[in-house]
Amino acid sequence: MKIKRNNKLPWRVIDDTVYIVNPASSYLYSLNPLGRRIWDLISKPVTLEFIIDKLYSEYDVDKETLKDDIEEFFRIMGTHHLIAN
Amino acid sequence: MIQEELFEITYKKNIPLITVFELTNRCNLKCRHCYLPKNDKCSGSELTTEEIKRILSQLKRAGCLHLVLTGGEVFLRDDILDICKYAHKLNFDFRIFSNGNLITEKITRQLAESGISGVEISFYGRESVHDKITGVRGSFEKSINAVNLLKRYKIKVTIKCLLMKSNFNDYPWLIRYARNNGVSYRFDPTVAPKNNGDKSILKHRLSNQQLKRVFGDKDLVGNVSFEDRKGGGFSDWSNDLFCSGGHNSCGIDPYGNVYPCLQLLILLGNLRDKTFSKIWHPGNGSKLTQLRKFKQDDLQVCNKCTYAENCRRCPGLALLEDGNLLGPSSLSCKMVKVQCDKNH
Ligand code: SF4
Ligand code: SF4
Repeated sequence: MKIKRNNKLPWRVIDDTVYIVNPASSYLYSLNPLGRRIWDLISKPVTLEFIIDKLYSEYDVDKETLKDDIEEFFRIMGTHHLIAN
Repeated sequence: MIQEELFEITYKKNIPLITVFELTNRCNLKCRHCYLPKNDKCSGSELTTEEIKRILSQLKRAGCLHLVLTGGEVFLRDDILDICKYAHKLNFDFRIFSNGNLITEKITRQLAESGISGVEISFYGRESVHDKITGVRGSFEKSINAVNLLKRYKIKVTIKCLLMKSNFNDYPWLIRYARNNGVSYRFDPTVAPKNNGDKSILKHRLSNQQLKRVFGDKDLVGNVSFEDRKGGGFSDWSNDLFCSGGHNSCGIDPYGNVYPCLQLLILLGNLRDKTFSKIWHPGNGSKLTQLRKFKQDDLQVCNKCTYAENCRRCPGLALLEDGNLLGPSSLSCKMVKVQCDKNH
């Protein structure tokens, strides 16, 4: 399954943080620098494995922990409709 | 919380988070309180579609997220849907301010597809009151139709109303109408002079007695905004005697002129001559740099004022109506006094 950001939503990178608006709820989300990196990676549809491998090569982290964190990140992003499958 | 954080960062770094973009000064109604001077021959031709798209791209690069497209009446532009689609492509959070009279089912369908965040429709009261204020018979019915269409296509609707002497008695009706139809509402008691300084329309302003009722009505708490048409509805976020204009909010007129805010008519430059970033980040000694440097201490009268803590002084009105950017705004003085005296 490939993951892609929900490009229908308004968003901006401001001062290194990604801000995403949900116009339906008027809710504003922010993503930290790691979230921003993931947001960049999912500008086109990619697999979860691709993202994990990519981040593993860029950050000094344990792979299992990274996998858990990324899965949790996408679970939350999914709940808030910030990604499109 | 995130909203405040973003507002603060952009304010400090002068990132134009909010832009109010007037796309035309042409209008199909003849509202008696309109701040646009009639026979506006001043500034040459309106921006073309391509120019507007270029400006939107520049605004995106500058960090603008919230965009208000307004007029005049924006639906008089044939390219408005094209502009909306482009704004969506650039991932703006964009809204339209309109009188709704030209909104058809076809337009609504396309608007819904354009990813618009919402439409705000001007209302003034019941049919007879509304049509008298707009100067066009039948305008009320068309605005009502627009609300119904927008709702049907699940576009967020807000009805907004400038409160004046002549429609004051109708505001409870408007609240009922909004509630019965599940739409938001917003009231603004700020009748501003025309952009050319003409004060003849100030006679429409609410009396002190009426203002007192506005501030005392619990149905209006949280639904009253100030200088809303010009600040795009975000002006309430500012918290001192200056404001967000020229820091993180910006106004652009239909001819490409850039202002700190459409109520603060200090011309910063024209987008036909310069890019947005050149205008927004000018060198030292420019008008904008000077404006950004002003501090509360520079406001000699307001600084000593006992109402200052509660006052929502609008620098734009202070300049346009009272002739001094650093002086009191007589309307702000009147409002804060009425508001505070109510608590005594
Ligand atoms: S100049 Fe007035 S209307 Fe404009 S942002 Fe400032 S307070 Fe609001
Ligand atoms: S009430 Fe008038 S004098 Fe006092 S701070 Fe406000 S604008 Fe200035």
